[in-house]
Amino acid sequence: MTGRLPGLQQAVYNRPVLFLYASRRILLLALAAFMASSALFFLLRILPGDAALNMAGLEATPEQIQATRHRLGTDRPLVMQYGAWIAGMAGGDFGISYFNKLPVSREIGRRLAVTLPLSLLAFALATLISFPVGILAATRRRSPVGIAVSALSSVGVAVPVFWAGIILVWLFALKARLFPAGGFPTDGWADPGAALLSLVLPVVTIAIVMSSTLIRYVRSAILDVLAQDYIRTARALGYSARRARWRHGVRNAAVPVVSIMSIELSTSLLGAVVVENVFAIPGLGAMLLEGVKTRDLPVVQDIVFMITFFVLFIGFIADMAQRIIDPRLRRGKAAEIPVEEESAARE
Amino acid sequence: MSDAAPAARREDAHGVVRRRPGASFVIGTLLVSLVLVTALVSFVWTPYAPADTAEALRLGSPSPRHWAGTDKLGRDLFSQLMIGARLALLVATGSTAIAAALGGTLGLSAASSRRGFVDESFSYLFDVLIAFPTILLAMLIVTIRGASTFSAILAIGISGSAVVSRLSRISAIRVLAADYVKAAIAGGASRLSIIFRHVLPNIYPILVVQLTLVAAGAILAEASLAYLGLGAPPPQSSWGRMLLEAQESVVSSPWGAIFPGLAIVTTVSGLNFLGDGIRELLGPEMK
Repeated sequence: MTGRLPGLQQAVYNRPVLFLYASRRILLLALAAFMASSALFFLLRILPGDAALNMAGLEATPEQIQATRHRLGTDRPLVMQYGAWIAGMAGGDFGISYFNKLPVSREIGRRLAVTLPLSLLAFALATLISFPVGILAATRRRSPVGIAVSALSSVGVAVPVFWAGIILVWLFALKARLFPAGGFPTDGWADPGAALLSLVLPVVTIAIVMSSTLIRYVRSAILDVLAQDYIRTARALGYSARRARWRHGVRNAAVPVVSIMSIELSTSLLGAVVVENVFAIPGLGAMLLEGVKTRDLPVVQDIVFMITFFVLFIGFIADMAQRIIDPRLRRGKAAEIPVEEESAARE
Repeated sequence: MSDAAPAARREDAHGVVRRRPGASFVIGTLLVSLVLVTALVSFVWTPYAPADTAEALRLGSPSPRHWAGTDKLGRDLFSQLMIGARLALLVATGSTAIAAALGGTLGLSAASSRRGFVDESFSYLFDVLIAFPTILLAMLIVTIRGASTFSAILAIGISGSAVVSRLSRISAIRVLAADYVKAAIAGGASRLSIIFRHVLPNIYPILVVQLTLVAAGAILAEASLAYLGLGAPPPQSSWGRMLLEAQESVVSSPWGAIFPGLAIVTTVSGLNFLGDGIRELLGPEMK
């Protein structure tokens, strides 16, 4: 960033450190995925009951039950079942639903086509709202605008996401009739316009609630940086306030913001899980909830693991991004998530 | 997160006495007391019996007789709201207690373990657990145990313990580096006595702040679970389930969908303000 050559030298010098960090971090990711999957698998096996009995039906002969057990693989030792589950998932075979006896992977694929756009759009919208507003709230924190933003966002974090959904449906779907009140076209994305229209309210719901959290973090990260000596030094060297902020402020504020954004990205997926049920959208969250209610083990197990892995992977990406932004972190530990409302805000 | 020397922190205790409570603290205390009093009063008095459907009035708007209106069976919403406060506070208290006990134990054992890799793997574990979403853990526990108030408390408590353990680990490591702790070790104090006599008294204020925020999160999580039908089963009144029931009739009777939400926002923001307020009282040195 500063001057061409020194920056380049710095990058070359840091590369091996970044590489070492990345390989260690990938190992940790694999270890965490292993721990999470085995904890999940064995926890769910505490459940009493024999799935084969239910699946084979009431009039099944002992031989038929045994055959069903064999087909499900539940007659093998638990460790073998665990191995088969992991190996199957790696090869794209997610097992068979106990409930509708269909392959879980096909259903998950269909559902993801709804849930992924929903949560990514919500995340994008929340980011687009939060950064300008958060920066505004930090740089004008004593003005009525700054105070209003921070008051609103501190009430906003207390709003349950499903309640926001109910109120938006009431106002914009049932009273104003601008958007559908729920559901998703049965032919999926065949008509992109209709599909997008039915995602508008859910996306806005998640984004509004997420932005409250995000605005608070952006604001406190910026306030924290603005109070640093190097900003004052830059000002003393003749930089304008705006230039000092952009040259020195943004990159430093980015590190804590990246960690909170990674958590928010996971939250947007989780928000989708809840919000899909408000809007009766046939996504992954609705599928998980049905799985929980019908005790459909393979479905619950697969979806929970997928979401967990997604969360872990986002964390990995965020850690890498932070090391790329701030080389000082490469040798040390992860950056702390900022405590909201840092001292600078209070003085 | 200042790295103030432990010596400076002792003076902090005097600072606590001198500082005047700020606006956040006052607002937070008022809101939380309001909910607490409502919950307590609901044990001795509610305008109507919560299951009382004798009234012919269904989906009524707020009126002098029914302050918050009535639901689709003609039950008084204000009475249900009052009783819902009990459940919210019960879940908040229960799960915060689990988070404190479990998180505190894990965090302090990680901090006081003498082997670096034990501490490091604990700390990574906490980071993973923090990332693991409450609602997912709750769904797992409900799959295993079935939906109940206790399942919700357990799930929310375990989730909350991750943040508590990370915070108590970081704070305890700072205290353990202090000279008076080294002196105590030299004097032959056991690890447990150091934790109870030196570490806990020094870190509990900052833990109280965190636990207040955990309680706020617990109320939100409970409401979500109840809304999804994974919380306390009927007839237990719950704000989350009141919203679920009010959703279908939101056009003809919006109040049923507005009041329970307001109750949740009031309680959660009350706890958030209280947490912020206590943190202000502790001063910047304690962060």
